[in-house]
Amino acid sequence: MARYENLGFGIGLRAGHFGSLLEHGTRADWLEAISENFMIAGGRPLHVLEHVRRDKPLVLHGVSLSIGGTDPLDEAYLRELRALADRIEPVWVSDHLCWTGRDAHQLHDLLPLPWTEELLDHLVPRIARVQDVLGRRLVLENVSSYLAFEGEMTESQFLAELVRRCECDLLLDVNNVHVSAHNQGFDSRRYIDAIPGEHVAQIHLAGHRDHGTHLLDSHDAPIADAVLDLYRYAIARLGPVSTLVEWDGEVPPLDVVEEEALRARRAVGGEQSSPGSRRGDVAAA
Amino acid sequence: MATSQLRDLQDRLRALIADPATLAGPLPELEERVAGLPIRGDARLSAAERVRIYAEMYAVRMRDALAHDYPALRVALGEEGFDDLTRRYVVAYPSDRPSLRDLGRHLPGFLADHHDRRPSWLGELAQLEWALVEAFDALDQPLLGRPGLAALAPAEWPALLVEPVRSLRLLSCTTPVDSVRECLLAHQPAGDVAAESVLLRVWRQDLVVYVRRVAVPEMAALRWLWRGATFAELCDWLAECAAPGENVPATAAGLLERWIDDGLLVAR
Repeated sequence: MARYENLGFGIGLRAGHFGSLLEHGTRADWLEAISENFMIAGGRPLHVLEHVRRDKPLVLHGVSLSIGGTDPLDEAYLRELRALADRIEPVWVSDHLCWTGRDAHQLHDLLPLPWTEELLDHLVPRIARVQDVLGRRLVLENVSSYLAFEGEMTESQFLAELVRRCECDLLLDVNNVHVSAHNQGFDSRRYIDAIPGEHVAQIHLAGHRDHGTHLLDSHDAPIADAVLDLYRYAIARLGPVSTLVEWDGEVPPLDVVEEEALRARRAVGGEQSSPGSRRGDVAAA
Repeated sequence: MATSQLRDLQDRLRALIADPATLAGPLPELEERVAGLPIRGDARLSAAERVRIYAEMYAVRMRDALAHDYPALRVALGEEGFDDLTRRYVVAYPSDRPSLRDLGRHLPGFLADHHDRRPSWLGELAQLEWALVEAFDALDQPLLGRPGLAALAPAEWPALLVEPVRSLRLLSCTTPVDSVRECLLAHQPAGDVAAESVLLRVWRQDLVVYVRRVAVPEMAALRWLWRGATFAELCDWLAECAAPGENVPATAAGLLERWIDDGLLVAR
């Protein structure tokens, strides 16, 4: 039985939409907030966050955890994240399987890791510590990559082993799978096949840009048809999964992003993907 | 890969990504620096070219974060000038906090130290823009309002605690930098900016950040009041600074009313 309820189709909580959200609400089923944008003392962002939380389920999605980094975990950051989670009561808390800086120098990017046994050994205690502070399971997202290291296993094999050893879960970014597969030369469907479905809490969809030699995970465009195809493949294999459309660059008006979420819903058949349906329910039907 | 090897790998990559020479230098030189790292390259992109993608994203991200906080400064310097400033700034002050919100906090000082014959109002413009950023994210606090004041009995007034909100920032400028900022954001040229003593208070009321010019007495009172004082203490201090014949209680009450109407005082 799936561990996570299907929240339906969601969108990111973006500053440019604050006014519309306060005045009109949203057609999206749920929202995802970038944790760091709300780890502040006060002001408009927190006001909006609490307002939307009254009406819709919400998840927290961080970009600074650096779970794969070799600096010690930032305990102050974890305590602030826990405080925000206690205040907002998100359905889950996620971040990325990556590193973001070294020796206190933050690069503010989601940097790639080598898929090795030693990395697994490095991650187990770090993930345990984060889950202990947060008091909940951590959900980790696969990042898009422009380089890969010589490793002992594929990325999806690594993810499968990671969730088994650490009792954490996955945010499957289908656009990132497509982008990384193109940039590294692996088969995106075989990647999906290796993902343990019972550990997938959420799916991300987003747009990207073609730079000729590589695809760039830009989050500033509609979802590409190839990514929707891969998404359909993933849903056929995994069943309904909470799906979020990310749009972070050149953010259009709220209704445009909402339409993109509806487009994703139509891609997999709306009735099969309504909020509350569980993978067990769909399989039985 | 042992943790020490992982650490070394991340050290080398971090240095490459943050180094402006990774983007500006010749590719063969970069390939030498990348050699030895276990990065897979292929016919489309070599290992060095792949590292360059991350370096370019880093440079753009840092510049965009600073452009978000300093929009008028960006207009004043032009794209090339702003890129040059931010590139040098990020080398001197790399981000050391999880949020990019804090990246630009040293920029006013950096601009002052590296003015390169730029006009002095640029530094004051940066100070004003950073004050706006700090006010935007400041702590929410309950405000002292007219109803609260009206409920006080006359005997309670002397002990009334008068404390400014945490979002308050005070700037003493030598140029009309508030007007300059408005021109630049309207994409109008700043022109010749004449020297002019301008005192500004920046603060957030509800969800809006304000900038207002204030007179010397009010600026002095706000600076003195920074950590809070009672109304009686405020009157005593104003009495020491008062002009001959000035009605000190009326002056104090007038300041209090203005600060309350502007949402500048904390309710205790």
